[in-house]
Amino acid sequence: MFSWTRTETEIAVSWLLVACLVAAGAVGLRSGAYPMAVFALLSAGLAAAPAVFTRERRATLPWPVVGLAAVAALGQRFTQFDGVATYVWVVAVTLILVVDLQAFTDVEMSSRFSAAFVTTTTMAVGAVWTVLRWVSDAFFGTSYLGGVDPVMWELVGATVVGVVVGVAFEYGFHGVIDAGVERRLDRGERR
Amino acid sequence: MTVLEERFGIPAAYQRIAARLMQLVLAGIAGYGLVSGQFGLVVNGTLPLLITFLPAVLRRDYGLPMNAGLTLWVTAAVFLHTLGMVGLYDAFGWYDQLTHVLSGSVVAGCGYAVTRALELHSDDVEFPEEFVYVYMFVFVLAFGVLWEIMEFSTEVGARVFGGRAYLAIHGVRDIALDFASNGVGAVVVALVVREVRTRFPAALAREMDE
Repeated sequence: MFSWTRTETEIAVSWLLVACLVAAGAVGLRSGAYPMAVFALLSAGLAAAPAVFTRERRATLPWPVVGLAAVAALGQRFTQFDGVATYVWVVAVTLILVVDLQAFTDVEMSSRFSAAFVTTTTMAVGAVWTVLRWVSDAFFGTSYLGGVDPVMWELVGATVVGVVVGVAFEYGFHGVIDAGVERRLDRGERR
Repeated sequence: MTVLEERFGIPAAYQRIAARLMQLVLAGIAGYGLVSGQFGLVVNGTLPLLITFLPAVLRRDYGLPMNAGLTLWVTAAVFLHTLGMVGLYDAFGWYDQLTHVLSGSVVAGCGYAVTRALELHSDDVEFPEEFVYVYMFVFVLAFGVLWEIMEFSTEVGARVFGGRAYLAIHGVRDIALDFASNGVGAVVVALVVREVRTRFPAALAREMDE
C-alpha cells in the first residue's frame, strides 16, 4: 500500500506534516479556534514525541499516520464537514498513539487488539472531549456543546469512525506499519 | 479471601447473604411489575437479576475464580441501578453519579480481566503493567460511550415509533457527569488492583500459572 524504500523522503514528509500541524495549531490559537488548536498541537506533539525523547531525528512516525491528522486539520479548516473531520482527527491521534506505543515502548499488540484499541480509544477520547467541553461551558461561559442530540450524534459518529478505521487497521494498515517499524528497529534507530 | 474480608472483617457468608437479599428485591420488583402490568419494571428487575447470576455461571462453566466479594460487587452495582430506575434517580441528583462510579468500577474490573487474559493466553500481545491500568480507564470510558449510545437509541426509537424511552438522557450535564463518574470508578479499581497485585505476589503467581 505504501512504499517504505524512500526512507529519507519519507522522514522529510513526516516532519513536513508535523510542521503543518503546528502551523494549523498556531492559526487556530490566533483565530480563537481553540478546540482545533488543541487537537493540532496534540497530534503534532505526539507525532514528534518519539524523536524528541530518543533525540533521533529519524524516529518519526510513518507519514500516512501523520498525514491523516493533517488531512483532518485541513478538513476542519476548509470544509463543511466539521464533525466528521473532528473524529478523523481523533482516530488519527489514536493511530499516532498506537504507533508510538508499538514502536517505542514495550507494548506489543496483536493486530486484532490494535483494532480494538483504536476503536475503544476513539470512543474514550470522544467521552473525554465531551467532558472537557462541558466543563468549559459550565465554568467558563463557552458554548461548545449544543444539546443532547448533537453531542450524542457526535459520539455515534466517533464510534462509527473508530470501528471503520479499527477494522481497516486490522486488515490493511497494521502490517505496513509493523514492517516500517521493524525496519527502523533493525537498523538500530530506536535509540 | 476478598478485600472486604481482609480489610473490613466482613465474613464471606455475610457478603453472600447480602447479594442474595439484593437478588430477592430484584425478583420482587420484576414480580410486582408483572402483576401490575408495568413492563418497564419487569425489564429493570429481570435483566439486572440475570446479570447477578453471571459470576456464578462463569465459575461453574469456565472455572474462573469468582469469590463472594466479586459477586457482591456486581450485584450491588446492578441493584443500585435498578433502585435508581424505580425512583431514586429522580429523587436524588447525586444518585446517578453514585451508580455510575460503581458500574464504572465493574466495567473496569472486566476490562482488567480481559486484558490480563489476552496477555496471558496470546503470544502476540504484551503489555507493561502501567499500560494495563491506563487501558482499564480507556476501556471504561469507551463502554460509557456505548452505554450512552444505547440510552440514546432507546430515545430515538421512542421518538420514531412513539412511546416512552426506558432509559432517558436528561441533558448534556448528565452525559458529561456520567462519563466523569465512570472514569472515577475506573481509577478507583485501577488503584485497588495495583495495591492488591503489589501486596499479594502469591495471588499473582497463581494467576500466571493458570
